[in-house]
Amino acid sequence: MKPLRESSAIERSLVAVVDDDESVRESLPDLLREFGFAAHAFSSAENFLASDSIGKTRCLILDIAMPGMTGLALQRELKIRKHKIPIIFITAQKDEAVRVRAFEQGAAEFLLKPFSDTALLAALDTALRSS
Amino acid sequence: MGGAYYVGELHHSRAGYGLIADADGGRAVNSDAPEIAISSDVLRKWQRIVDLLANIMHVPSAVVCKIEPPDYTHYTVISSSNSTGNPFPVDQIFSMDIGTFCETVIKSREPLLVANGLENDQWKSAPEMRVGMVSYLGFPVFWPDGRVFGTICVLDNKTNRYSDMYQELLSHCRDVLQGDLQTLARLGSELEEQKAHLSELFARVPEAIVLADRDCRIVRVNPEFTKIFGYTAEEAIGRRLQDLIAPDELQEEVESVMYRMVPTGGVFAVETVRRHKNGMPVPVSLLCVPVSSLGSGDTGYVIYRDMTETKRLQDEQRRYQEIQLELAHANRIATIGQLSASITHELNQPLTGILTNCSTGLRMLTDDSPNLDGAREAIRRTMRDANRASEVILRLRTLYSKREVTAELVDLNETTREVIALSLGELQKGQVIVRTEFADDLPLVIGDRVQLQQVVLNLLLNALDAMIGVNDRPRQLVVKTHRQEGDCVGVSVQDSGVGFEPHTVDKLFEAFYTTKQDGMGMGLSVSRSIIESHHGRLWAVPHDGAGATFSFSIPCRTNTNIQ
Ligand SMILES: Nc1ncnc2c1ncn2[C@@H]1O[C@H](COP(=O)(O)OP(=O)(O)OP(=O)(O)O)[C@@H](O)[C@H]1O
Ligand SMILES: [Mg+2]
Repeated sequence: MKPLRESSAIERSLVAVVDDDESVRESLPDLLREFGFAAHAFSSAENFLASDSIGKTRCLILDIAMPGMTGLALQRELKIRKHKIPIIFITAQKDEAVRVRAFEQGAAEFLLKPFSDTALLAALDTALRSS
Repeated sequence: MGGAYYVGELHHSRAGYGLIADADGGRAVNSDAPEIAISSDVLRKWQRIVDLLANIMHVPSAVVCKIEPPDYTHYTVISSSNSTGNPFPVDQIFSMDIGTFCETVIKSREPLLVANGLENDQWKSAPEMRVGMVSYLGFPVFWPDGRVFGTICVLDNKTNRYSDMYQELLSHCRDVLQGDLQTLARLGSELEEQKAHLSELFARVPEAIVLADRDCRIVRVNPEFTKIFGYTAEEAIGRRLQDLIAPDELQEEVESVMYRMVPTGGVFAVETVRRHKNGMPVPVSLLCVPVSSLGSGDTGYVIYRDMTETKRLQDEQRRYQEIQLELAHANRIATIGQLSASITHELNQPLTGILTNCSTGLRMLTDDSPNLDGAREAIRRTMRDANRASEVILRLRTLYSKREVTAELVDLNETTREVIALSLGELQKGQVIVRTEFADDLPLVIGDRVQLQQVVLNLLLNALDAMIGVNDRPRQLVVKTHRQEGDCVGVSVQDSGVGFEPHTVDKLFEAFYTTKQDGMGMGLSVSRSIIESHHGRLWAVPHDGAGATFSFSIPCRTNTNIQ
């Protein structure tokens, strides 16, 4: 990568990705960086909670169905811990009840996998503006 | 009993004589009773008796006569002493209306003594006089049932008053004869009884029985023969088996079966086909029983069991199995329906990766200063995700396709892993923690991979269902594969679900038994029939604590075909 990008990355907003699926964890951060964000991926909700990224995260892209703590549980946990991070949910399962639930709990956006880059960009826009 | 019997002249009264004890005037009574033959042993003994009598009593003739059924119109000399001057040869026949001494004894059923017939008006023209036998002492001989058998008597060519001692001797000999008759009658009735039993057996067995001779000609058939093959006894007797009931193409087989009976003498069975009178083929199982009494010329019995019904049941059984397989397929599809959500999940994951990587790559390339390394990496990941997606499709296709049952080498580790991968989405959604413990030296088994996957899938989904309502403990699923003694390979699925009451264990495997609102109750029943067709076993054990373990094991080195 070019040094210019690297130096300016310090100023960029950090977007965290939490997903148990490896291909999402590998591909999404690169795209986010292409968008101009800093990105960090976590394989579980627990890992994210344990990390020091949590305070710097401007936006969270969160998978719903994960072994252990689910996306919705993490959302509640963050609320309890008073972290007001806007959340974009991503899920491979079309489940209306879950979607409603997510928005009730304050989700910024809800994307069905697979999603286009423009849809993601629009969602990030919405999310960052809401905060 | 010296002088106790009537001695003297007897009135010849036709109406008065009875050949039978309960004479009702009809001679036909008992005439249809089976004729008991006097065996040669007995005849030899009687010959010695008459010889001795003639010798001891110094008379030219001692004779045993037998009245001949069924009409009693004549009697025959059956034993006659070998003494000089005896005018009566064995087999001489006397009519019952010529007024002989013996005729009189038979008709009166009383002993008779005539010292000299020439001095007596009644006897002087008796036939014996003409052959010089002027005196007579005779006793009637009876069958045990009271019928007259005949006489035993001595005759002399001169006046003979036959002392009491001689009378007693002759009477004693008569008793000996009657003893022999009693034995013969008893043996005879035993024989009759056996014959009756045999006839009853012949008439009542649900199999056709044919007695055939050396030329394969039918000697005797039982009623069942008519039922199975349509021919009455009259139509069958005398015909050759191959002409009557052999299908054209099996002529030779029928003959060879018959010829095989002659030398071997052993019983043997053949499964084959015969033909009904109406031309229809009759599947039969036949049993050949050669007869040992060679003198009769009969080769043996052939016993035919009609297999039509058995065959029908077998067909039904086969049909039932087909239905089971259909059900297995239907069940597979239903399960796939349930799984479709999970499959969507499985497919959408790599699709997300593909789409994201493509966007990234495209952006990197169209940048003012293109990032080639980054794009190359994004494309590499795209390919990997595309492969992953096509694998999911492939798995799906194998599960869906209705195929003939196949026998191939199956790695149960791989099979189980695939099924877990396929249901992972479903399991995660149910917050189930999956742990696998696979034996790494697992031998391959011969079987149908798709069917075995179906079994594992059913067990996983059941375990999931059992844990869905559990909230007070971890939902834990442990899937193990292991090698077992006796060259078996086993898979077990252990859950921490609701479990079941030990006494209901048999019910679980019944078709249509379900405790679930949307269950069909087919999962375990189909699974068990699949495992059994692999010559294996599927069973369940409830845990002492929470949950249950469902396991199956199948032999790993079986070459037998899977039905
Ligand atoms: N792991 C398990 N723990 C406790 N009970 C079980 C378990 N697996 C099966 N059962 C019991 O056995 C019954 C029959 O199972 P089966 O899989 O044959 O049918 P089903 O699951 O009810 O319906 P379907 O066949 O449509 O899936 C279930 O309804 C359930 O009561
Ligand atoms: Mg089931």
